[in-house]
Amino acid sequence: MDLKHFRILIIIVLSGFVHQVFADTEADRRWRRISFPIFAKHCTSCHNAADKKGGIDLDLYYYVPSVISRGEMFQHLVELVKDNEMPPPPKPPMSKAEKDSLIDLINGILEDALSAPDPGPSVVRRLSNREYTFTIKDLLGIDFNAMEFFPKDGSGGEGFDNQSGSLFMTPLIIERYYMAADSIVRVVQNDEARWENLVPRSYSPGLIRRFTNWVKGTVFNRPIKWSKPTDLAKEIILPFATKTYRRFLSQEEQTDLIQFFDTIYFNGLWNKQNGFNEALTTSFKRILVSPTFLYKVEVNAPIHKPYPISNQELASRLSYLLWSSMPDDTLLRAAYYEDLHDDAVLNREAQRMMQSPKFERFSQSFAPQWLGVEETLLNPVADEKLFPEFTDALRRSMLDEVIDYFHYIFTERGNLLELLDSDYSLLNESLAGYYGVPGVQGSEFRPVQVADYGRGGILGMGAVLTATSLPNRTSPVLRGQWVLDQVLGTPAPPPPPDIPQLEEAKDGAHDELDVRRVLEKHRESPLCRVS
Amino acid sequence: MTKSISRRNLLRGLGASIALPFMESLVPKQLLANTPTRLGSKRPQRFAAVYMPNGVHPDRWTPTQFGSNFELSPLLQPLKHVKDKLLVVGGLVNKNSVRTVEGHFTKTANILTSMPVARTVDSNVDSGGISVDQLMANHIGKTSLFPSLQYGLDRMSSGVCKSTGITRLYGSAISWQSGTKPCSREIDPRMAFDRMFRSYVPGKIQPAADPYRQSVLDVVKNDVQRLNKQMGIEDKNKMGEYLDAVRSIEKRLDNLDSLKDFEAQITPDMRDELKCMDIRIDEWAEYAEGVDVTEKARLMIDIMVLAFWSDASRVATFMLGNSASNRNFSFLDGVHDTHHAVSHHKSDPRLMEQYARIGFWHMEQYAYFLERLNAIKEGDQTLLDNSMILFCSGLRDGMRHSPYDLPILIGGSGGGRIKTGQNIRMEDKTPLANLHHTMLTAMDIEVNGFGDSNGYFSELLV
Repeated sequence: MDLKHFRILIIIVLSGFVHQVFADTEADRRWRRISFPIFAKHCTSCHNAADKKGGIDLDLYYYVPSVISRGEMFQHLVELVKDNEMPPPPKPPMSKAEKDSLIDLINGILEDALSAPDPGPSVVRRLSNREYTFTIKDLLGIDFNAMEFFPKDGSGGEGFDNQSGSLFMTPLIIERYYMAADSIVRVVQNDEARWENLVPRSYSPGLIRRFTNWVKGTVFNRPIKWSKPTDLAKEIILPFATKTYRRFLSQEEQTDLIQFFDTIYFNGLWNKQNGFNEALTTSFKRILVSPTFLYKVEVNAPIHKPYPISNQELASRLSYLLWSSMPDDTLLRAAYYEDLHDDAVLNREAQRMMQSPKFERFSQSFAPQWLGVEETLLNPVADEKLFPEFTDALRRSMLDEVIDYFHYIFTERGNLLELLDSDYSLLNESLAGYYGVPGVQGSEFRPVQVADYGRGGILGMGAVLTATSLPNRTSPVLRGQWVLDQVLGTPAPPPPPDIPQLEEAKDGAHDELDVRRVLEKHRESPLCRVS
Repeated sequence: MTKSISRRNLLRGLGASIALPFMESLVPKQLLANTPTRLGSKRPQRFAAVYMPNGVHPDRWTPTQFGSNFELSPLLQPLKHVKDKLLVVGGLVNKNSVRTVEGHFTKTANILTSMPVARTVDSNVDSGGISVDQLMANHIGKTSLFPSLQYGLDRMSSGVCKSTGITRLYGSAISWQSGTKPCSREIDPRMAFDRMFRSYVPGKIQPAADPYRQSVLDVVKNDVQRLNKQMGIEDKNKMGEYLDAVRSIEKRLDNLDSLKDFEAQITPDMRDELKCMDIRIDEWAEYAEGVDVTEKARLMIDIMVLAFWSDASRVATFMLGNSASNRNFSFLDGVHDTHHAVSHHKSDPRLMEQYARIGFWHMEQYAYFLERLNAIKEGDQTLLDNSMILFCSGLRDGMRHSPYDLPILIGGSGGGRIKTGQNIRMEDKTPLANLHHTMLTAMDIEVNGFGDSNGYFSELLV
């Protein structure tokens, strides 16, 4: 994602709009009426669900919004059809009429989409492991390292670990969620202060109550239930669930939660010592494995145009964006008593949240993933013999420079252009030593003037330079690709399919040439000379 | 600890056993004994796939003679004790890995699906379809406690490879329930072992019973019903994943009959072995330092062996490294570079020698797996005889990133269904999927084809 897209992303996230498709419109029907017969005749013998040639299944696009969501792919399709590259010979070509109507149709849809930006559907997604960790911390004050305990999340789309498409749920993961809930609740239970904070008043039945129950249960064989424990549990469970679910509970949800407590408590726990607390911990556990907690759920309205999401949903989006965690009480209050869709309120809350130390989580998570440097620094490929100075500590410092620099710009400077270029960076002693910048002592990162040392801005950062290098040398190709992709937002197209792999060229002479000569040599080859 | 080996010896053994062939003394005596199970004489078929990253030394892999009278190639030497139960298959290509924009990940995610892998543009993670192990699990995995197991040694790599638009997730996933749903892997021996066997280890302190798990799982299913009312189609799919996952634990953990059945078939020998494993894992956790992952790999293998033996599961996959793994193999003699780095050997003999040594280590682990299975009797057969253990890499030669003539082996005959003990070369460009189809046929799983297969090898079937 480049700078331009970054701005758009923030705007989309905070605009608080989603678009959900249910209804079949005339446009959808027209799309199918015209495109489907052409696809069936020319395309879907290869691009179907079973063969999926080129990874494309054209039977998937039933609705106009689904076409828009894969706009880039359809744009490419138009190009290929226009140039008669698809359907490929020897398949019979499309007639001119077919070509024209298909191209006009797709172009029309994509142009319309541009003039009326569509926030797209919002898909429910699981908390990432990072978000789970911080949510538990903010909810209960417990340090639970979900990143170590759960199978690691993959990355989808633009390379971020909070992408709905790559946040899967599998039997192994749900098992771990259950175990995690269990151990988290036990930690709370065994910590007196925390427990009292959550459960200010406990309950155990008095002698008379026990006697009445005994008569009821044993003599008359009637179910046992009385109101006191339920009433007390309500005051504990409902606020906890509201906070955990990050929204108000429906009447049905409240009934369900209380019924669950009752079932557990009155069937066998009421006459046990600590039975009330045990029924409560089970209720907490039940809340912590509920999909309402584990997923970020937004209610989808069955209408066919953008609509505002609820205040509470917007609060959640804001806090997961800025804090990787749940909203705090202040934000929830603002969502309830005020209107987060009001720019002034939204702005005030966003500013407040960015002042919080919790905002560092944003920089920690976003900056390295955005620049794509985390993997290279955590699992380095650099040749240890050539670069013995590239130690664990130095790698960590390089990563911290990215995070701290980014954070400094966001919180202190407010000028995104300084990401690209500036006369300072944030350094500690070991990194400054490596860069040859004198006069920095101690492990703390601080702003340092570096203009005279070829640093300043992301392009001068050790992390970025390492991520765009090969294990044993710099790579102008990788670095150029990175700038095109990350900074300018104009990624180079993938190599044409007929190019042999570099290694397959089997050119032993490569070793003897320096990098510049190798690249010049490559440029001489007609195959490699892409205009 | 059993009598066969002391703690000390075991620890010393870790270092020494690396380069040595399999040592029978490491196997508890009971393991070698004939153990009756509830299954009677009809033994189930098992399947595992062992994946190796970065390809192999191209000139030291294929045996020079073909047919049943062949000498093992240098790289296949570790398999000499199980040679007659080994099938070497050459000439296969994973066609959907040819001419992809990227050299490793797109040749890994589909090694068992044999379908095209989608570029990761937005949310589309897609390996093309179900993997062959998962298809088998759907057929033969249902009666065991775990329909299938997925193991690895390393955490998944994060991010998307920027130059190719391929998520690194592809490099860490070979088992796919569907093209868009990879299975999660266990990479920690302790967690993998406890998940399956903790309750059955003699003398092990068990966690407090959880009498309310079933109730909790019941009510969270209600939550899904409620949420579904407010959701669109894609959301419902996500909730479907959640529901499937919940049901799968219920099926396993709260089905008392099947748990009892399982417990009943755990023989005293197995219990001894469980206890031994439990201690080994503790010792590994205590002493494992540095880069040597041999013992970790063997623990994972032994856990799979136990799973097959006890019928906790019949299907497993195991990745000895993530795709393009750059593991530091300096714990091997004569190796001082990292794996992916030496795989780009540029035909430099010094690098190629290291490459061969690293490949040899992988074959030792695979051989260890086969020999452990072969040491366990099932009737007058061994567990290995009733298994098919596939060995595969997505590349032939790491330098060329070429998915032609892949290094492929099958150990075990799947209950006498596969003709082992031979080195076969298929016609050039025969799809790897034909082998997947063949293995499915050996399991009596009827399919019209698999992935991009265009037939199966009837000549390999008995």
